[in-house]
Order: sequence, then C-alpha cells, then structure tokens
Amino acid sequence: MDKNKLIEVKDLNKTFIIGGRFFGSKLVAVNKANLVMQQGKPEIFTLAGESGSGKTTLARMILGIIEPTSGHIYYKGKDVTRLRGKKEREWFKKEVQPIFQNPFEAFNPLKRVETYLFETALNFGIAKNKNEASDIVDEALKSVGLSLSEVYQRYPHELSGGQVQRTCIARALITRPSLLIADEPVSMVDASLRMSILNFFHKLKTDYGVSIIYITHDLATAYYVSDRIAIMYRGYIVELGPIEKVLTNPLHPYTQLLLDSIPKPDPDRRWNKRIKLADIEVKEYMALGCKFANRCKYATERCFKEEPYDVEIDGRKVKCFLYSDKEVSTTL
Amino acid sequence: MEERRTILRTKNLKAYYSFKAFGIDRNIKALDDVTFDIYEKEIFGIAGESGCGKSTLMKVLYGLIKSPLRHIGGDAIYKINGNERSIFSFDKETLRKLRWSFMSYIPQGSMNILNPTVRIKKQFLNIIKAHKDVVNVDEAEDIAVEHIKSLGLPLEVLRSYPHQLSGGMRQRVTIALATVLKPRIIFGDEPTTALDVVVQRGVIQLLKDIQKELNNTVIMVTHDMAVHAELTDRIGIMYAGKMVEIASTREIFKEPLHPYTQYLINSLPKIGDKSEKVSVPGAPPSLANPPSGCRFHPRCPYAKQICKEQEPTFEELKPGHFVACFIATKRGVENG
Amino acid sequence: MSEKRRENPIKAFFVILKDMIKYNKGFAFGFIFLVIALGLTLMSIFSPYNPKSWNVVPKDLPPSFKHPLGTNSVGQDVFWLLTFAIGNSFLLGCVTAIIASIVGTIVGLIAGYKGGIADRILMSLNDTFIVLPSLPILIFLAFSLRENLNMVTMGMILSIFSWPWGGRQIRAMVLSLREREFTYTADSSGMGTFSIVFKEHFPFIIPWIMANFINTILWSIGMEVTLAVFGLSSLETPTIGTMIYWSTQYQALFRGIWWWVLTPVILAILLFVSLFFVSSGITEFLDPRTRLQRIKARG
Repeated sequence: MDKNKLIEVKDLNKTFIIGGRFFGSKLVAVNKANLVMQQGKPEIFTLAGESGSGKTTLARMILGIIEPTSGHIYYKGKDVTRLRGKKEREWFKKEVQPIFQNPFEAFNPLKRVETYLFETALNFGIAKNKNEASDIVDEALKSVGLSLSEVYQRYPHELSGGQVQRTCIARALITRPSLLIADEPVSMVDASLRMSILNFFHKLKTDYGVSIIYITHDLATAYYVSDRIAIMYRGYIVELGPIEKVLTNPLHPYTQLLLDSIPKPDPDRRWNKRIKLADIEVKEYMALGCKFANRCKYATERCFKEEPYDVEIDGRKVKCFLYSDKEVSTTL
Repeated sequence: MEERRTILRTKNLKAYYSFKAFGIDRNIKALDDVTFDIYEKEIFGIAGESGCGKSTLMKVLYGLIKSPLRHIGGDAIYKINGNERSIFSFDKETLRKLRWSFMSYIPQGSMNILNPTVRIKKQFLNIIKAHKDVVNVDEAEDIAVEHIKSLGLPLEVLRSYPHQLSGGMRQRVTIALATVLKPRIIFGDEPTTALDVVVQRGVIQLLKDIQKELNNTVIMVTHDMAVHAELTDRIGIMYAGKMVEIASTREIFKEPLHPYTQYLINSLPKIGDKSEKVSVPGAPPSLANPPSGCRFHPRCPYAKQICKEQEPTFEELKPGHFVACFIATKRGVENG
Repeated sequence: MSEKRRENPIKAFFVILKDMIKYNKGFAFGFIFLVIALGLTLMSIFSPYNPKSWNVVPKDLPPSFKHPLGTNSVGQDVFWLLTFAIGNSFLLGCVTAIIASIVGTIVGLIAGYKGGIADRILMSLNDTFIVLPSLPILIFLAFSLRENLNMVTMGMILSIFSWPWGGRQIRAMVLSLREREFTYTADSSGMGTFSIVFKEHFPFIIPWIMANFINTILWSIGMEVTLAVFGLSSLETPTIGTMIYWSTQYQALFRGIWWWVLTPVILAILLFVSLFFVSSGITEFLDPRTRLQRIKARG
C-alpha cells in the first residue's frame, strides 16, 4: 500500500439487518465508499449529508467502533480493519482520535471531566506519573484556550457547552494524533461559541499539521472550515471534490437541491421558488439504480435501472449519469 | 402602512425555576423583566442561545407553568375577541378551550403532540369535536380532509399511525393539527430544528403558507438565525433571561445595535464567504447567579463602568427598534 | 494539584445518611425500624430460653412486665421468640439476595458485554427461569427436602427463582451504556474493557443492584411466609413464617391469644414497609439523574 496516503477508504460497505435475524430486511448504510487523504498535506475533509445518509456510520467505521461488512481502510498503509493485538490497536487509537457531537454525552456526567484527560495521558504512556500527566493535560487544555485550573474537579454540566467541547478536543490532542474524526462537533454548541471551535480546527491543521474529518449536515460551517467535501446520500458518496467547487458550483442534482434548501442568513435573499417534498422516504433504500432518481428532475429511465458510477469531471467525482457522457459534460 | 394592532403584550414578565433538593434552594432566573408587544398578522421570531429563556417564555405565554417553574411577577395580556385578558387569569378549563382554537403550539419533537397509538384521522376528529359544535362525525371529517388538502399534504396520512410517517411528514402533520381550528396565534418551539435541510425548507414553506392564509400571528422560537432570516418579520433577541433587542428582521441583520446581536450576526458562516468569523468571548452566565448590571457586560468588548453597575432599560432607539444597552443608546445619540 | 474535594469516605457516608434521614421521611422511618430490628436480633444472644424448646414458660399468658409480648400455647416467650425470628428471616433474605445478586449481576454483565452466542445462551436460560412457575416448584422442593431444610438451604432454593430478574435488568442497562458516547470516549482514552466496566458503568449499575438486593430480601422473606403457612418451612426454626404457622396451628386467633398472631403479622408488615422505603430511598439517592440534580443544586 502507498505509504504517502494518510488514510485510504476502499470500497467500504456496511449493511445493517433490521428486524429479526431471518426475516429482517437489509439496510445498506454505506455503499462502496472510497476516499483518500494524503499524508504530509494536512486538510479538513467534510463528510456532509442529511440524517440517514451514512456519514456517521462511515466515520465510526474509520474509528473502528463499527465493523465494516466488506472493504478496507488503510491507515498509513496498514489495513486497520484487521488490526491484531493490543499494541496495534493502541497505536491506531493514538493516531486517530474522535470528537463527538454532544459534549455532555461524550463525558460521563457523574465523573469530573479531567479524569479522561489524565486517563489518556497515562494509559498511552505519554506521561509516566500523575505529576507529568498534569503538565501534559494543562498544556493540551492551554492549546484550546482553557487551563487545568479552569476545569479541574468540575463536572461536565458545570461548564458551558463550548468549554466541554474544547475539553473533548484537548483530550483528543493529548495523544498527538494525525487524524481527528469530529462528528457534528459544533451542532450542540451555542452559536456564539461555535466559530471559536471551527477556528481552532483551522489552527490545528495549519499549526499542528493535524488532518480532520469533519462530519456535518451544516454546509455553511463546512464551507467555512474545510478544504474538500464529500456529499453523501443514502449511503453513497454522490459528489466529492474541493469545497469551493462543490458548494459554489454543485454538479450532482442532490447537491444542488441541498444547497438550494439551506436557509440563508440574509432576509434580502429569501427563497422565491417552491419545492416539493418526498412523501415517502424509506423506500429509496430499496430502490434499484440511483437512490435520488425519484426526486431528481433530470432523471431518465436509466437512472432507475442502473447504479450510477463515479465520473471524474472538473476536478471532482460525481456519481450521476448526467456527466457520464463526455459530450454532455462539456456542454454543461 | 396599516395600523398595527397588538394581540399580545407582556409587561415585566418574570418566571423562575426553583429547586429544592436535599436542603439546597436555588432559583434559576430564566425569565427576568421581559416586556414586548406582538402584533396581529406578524411572524415574530425569538432568538437566543440555549438557556437564554426563550423556551421558558414560550411556556409562560402558552400557560404551561408548572413546578418547578413559577410565575414571579409581571403580566402577559392577550387580546381575545377585543377583550384584554391576562394569561394568569384563566382557569384550567378556559385554557383548555383556548388551546388549539385561539392559540396552538408546535413543539420540536412532534411525538409530544401526536398520540402514537391513535390514527391521525382520529386525532383530528378528537380535537375538532372537543372545540367545535359539530353535528356529526362526517362534518368533522370534512373539516379535517379539507384542511389536509389545503396544506397540500397527501390524504393517506389521515389513515396512518404517527410512526408510519417520516419525521418530516410527522412534523407537517403536527402543524396541520395545530392549525385545523384556525388559531389566531401559533407558537413554534424550534419546530424545524431536528429536521433535515430539505425537509426544513418544506416545513418553513408550510408555516409561511398557513400564516398567509389564516392571516394570524406566528411566534417562532429557534436558535437558528438563518431560519429567522427566511421566515420572520420581526425578531426579539434574548440573552440570559432578558430581551436585549427587538427590531424588524431586516434591521436585526443589517444594523444590529446590541453588541451581542452584532456578534451573533457577524459570526454566521455563509457559503461563498471565507472571511474569518469570531465567536463571542467568554461563556454564557449562570442564571442562578447572573452578573450585575447588564448581563452581557463580562463578555462585552465595549463594556463601561456603568454597564457593571446598572441594568440598561429597554428603549426604543429608532421607530420599532428596541435595545437594552448603554453603549448603543449613547452611540445612537452621538450619530444623530 | 491537591485533592481538595476528595472527602473521607466514611465521613461522607455518615453525612449522606444524615441528609437522607433529614430529607426523606420514608427512609428515616424505614432506617430507624431496621436498626431497631437489628438490635432485637442481637438481643437474641441474651435470650434466657432456647427458641427450639417448648414448655419453658407458663402457657398463654397475655403481655405483662415479665413477658412483654406474652407467651404462646406451646410454652414459649413470644418476645424472645421474636428476636430469633427476625434474625432468621433476615438471614434467609440475605442468603437469597446475595446469591441472586451475584449470579444475576455476573450473568447480566457477561450477556451484555460479550453478546453473541454467550448472550443468547444466558438469556434463554434466564428466560426459562423467569417463565417457570415458581410457587409450585418451591412447594415441591420444600416438600421433598423437608428434613434438610434450614435457612441457608432455603435461601439457596429461593435464589434460583430470583436471580433472573436482576440479570435481565443489568443486561439491558449494559447494552444501553455500551452505546453511550462516553463509553467511546473512555475507549479512546485507552481505558481497557475492565476499567470501562468498573469506572464508567458501575456508578449507573450499582443503584439497581442495591435496590434489587433489598427487593430480593423482601421477596424471599415473603416467600418463606407463604411456604411456612403451608407448613413447608423449617418448622422448628423460629421465623416470621413459622411463628404464623404455629399460631394458626393452635388456632390462636379464635382462642383470643391475639399477641401470638399479631406479633409476627405486624412485624412482617413493618419489615416490608421499611425495606421498601429504604430501597426506594437508596435508589433515589444513587439514581444518576437525581445525583446529577443534587450535584447541580450544590452549584
């Protein structure tokens, strides 16, 4: 495997069985996902999509919390879906750290927050004793704009959402990871504090060289902070490319709909068109062909029968038949 | 401009949560001295962060005060058929009658309103029968069918149980249920928050349509400023249990006066704008022990001595633009 | 960094106990009664009479200064008999509860954390015991073991039917705790399964174990009374159940020897009520939600 790749996700699938073991139905949560992040070129990569798009499942597979049904994840050239032994697992946990959505859920509400920071420092052998650990913990907290004395002996609810979330990030940074996986890290944080966390992600990338996979449904914050984006829909990555291109000139009809549906924080630019909502949503999982075909205004007969494949166009990958024909793509 | 008639006035409204647990007493001043008017036929937005008191305000206005929430002082006066009545003067029965018919409530999770074991149709009929003198079931059913049709929802939903519907459809059915009796005021407590963006857009569209058709008042609580920009006519910004600024939506977004509002608006990320945004420094205060003077002063970059000592009054600085801030009022004077 | 907020655990325990007695009337009542009951049990050491021998005092004497609760028709002092009965009933309850809690907790933990095959085998075993009709089987067992019955064997038999309830509850709790985000945080903090179970999840599970423990004591004492009424307990051992059995055997109620019947009946009622209050007091105190509220209220 290529050592220059920080992480490579290859044909990753996850199928859940809903209902009974024998009579349940299958739900393909992630379908042949592929993505690559380069080593030595830190970036913030956004996985965006609505609920049920599979973005969290994909992120949790990368973290190793959920086992993939098939496919591979290579981290620094090593297949991490087949990690063996305590040592390898510990190495991977040190390298890839998570940040969760709800800061108040990410810490046990009955425990004081700093315990997790000390645990991290001691368990991974970063500090040899408690004194050394408290220096390391303090340093990590200072890097996120807090200090040990501010959070020491405090329960999660005694701190604000922003503070707890920054403590979560500080904990993740103690192991000096190369990759952070942040699942909706700011959606539960108040608007007045949200930007400080996103700004900190930017600083992590530029100053510390940490790559971040940022999972969100909020395209405006994705645009603000990230370099590349993958839009997911019903388990498929439908469009993947540089953020500027995907969000200002979307190609996939779903990306277009999504962008069009975001309320803009500007009362002078309200929607003037009307949209029609799908009445039934679950059926799309079962649909053959393109999952978006039902709602797509460009859909042809082919879209309902065949599964679309990735088309490389304008520096990005788009899973749509609209662009599979070179001639069509040039006219667009 | 047509004359604006108020439908709801609040005056120095105060409501605290009091906790008594194992000998410890605490008062959370969730709503402190809130005064504002809401007009007929407008969509009024209430914005603020979690714990700013916006949901408490909604509970008080909808008459949902129960322990540990307590009404401490002030009043909220509705104009019902030309008569002014305080929400605190109603008994249980009157409140029950007013709900659904005069005012209705759309919560964030629709499952709070929809009964999971009863078909949607039956739920419509129950509400119609409880509030209207209908002769028979057919008549009530006609009202329900007519309403569902007019909102552009598929008629099949009437035959379904709530769990058979998708989240977005459920929320639209809740809205339909809340508006079937053509209430004069609709309260929405984060009605679009848990929804996906495409569905959220549909729900906002539906709320707009209904307001236009019924020509009534919508009071919309959400923390999402973009939703406010899309939907509301006027916005009230709350901070730490206080109303700090009220103005037309356009003015809030274009010329915010309160430093907190300015931060809130300027930190909104926009697609196509990569300029650096900054957060409000510091953290929201504890409502059990709020800061002295202006509650925003510990986080305010412009704070002066007076801000620490005195509480700013809620003043009308420009026509229809109210703000509670010493700096803003002074600055307003200086600029002419 | 000093450990400024770590209190002496023994001192903390008494502070909590004081708080609970002060603010929870039910708990205060239950606790005080249980202390009295325990005191009575200890007094049995000083009993002037052997509880198993008959005709040591005059028969059928009403309560008096010499015999505070009177004497019964077989010539025993009811008060001193009572001190033994409480102790034996407690012993029975504790044996049942200890065995049931240990087995239930272990089964629940293994089923919850291991999952897969282990979970399915353990839970089908668990369910089998839940659906078995306990009373007829207990009657049968007690009948066939009559000669060898004592409080310990009886407790062991009763525990067969009481462990599955706790087991299921604990498994359900583990399953939901495993999916909580803080479990993932603990995992990424390099904590092993063992320390996640004990440091992260036990604070949530312990209140259940304790409540379940007390409820099992309650259930087992009640069950013994039921069996004893049928004459299927260790009849020469004084317990609440056997006291009721003998008094009905001698038709004490019809013969007006009310002190013989009422003593065990009132004791049983008081014991049940106290155990219930104590158990709900402890659950309320340890319940993570009220615990959180309390931590929050302290500010």
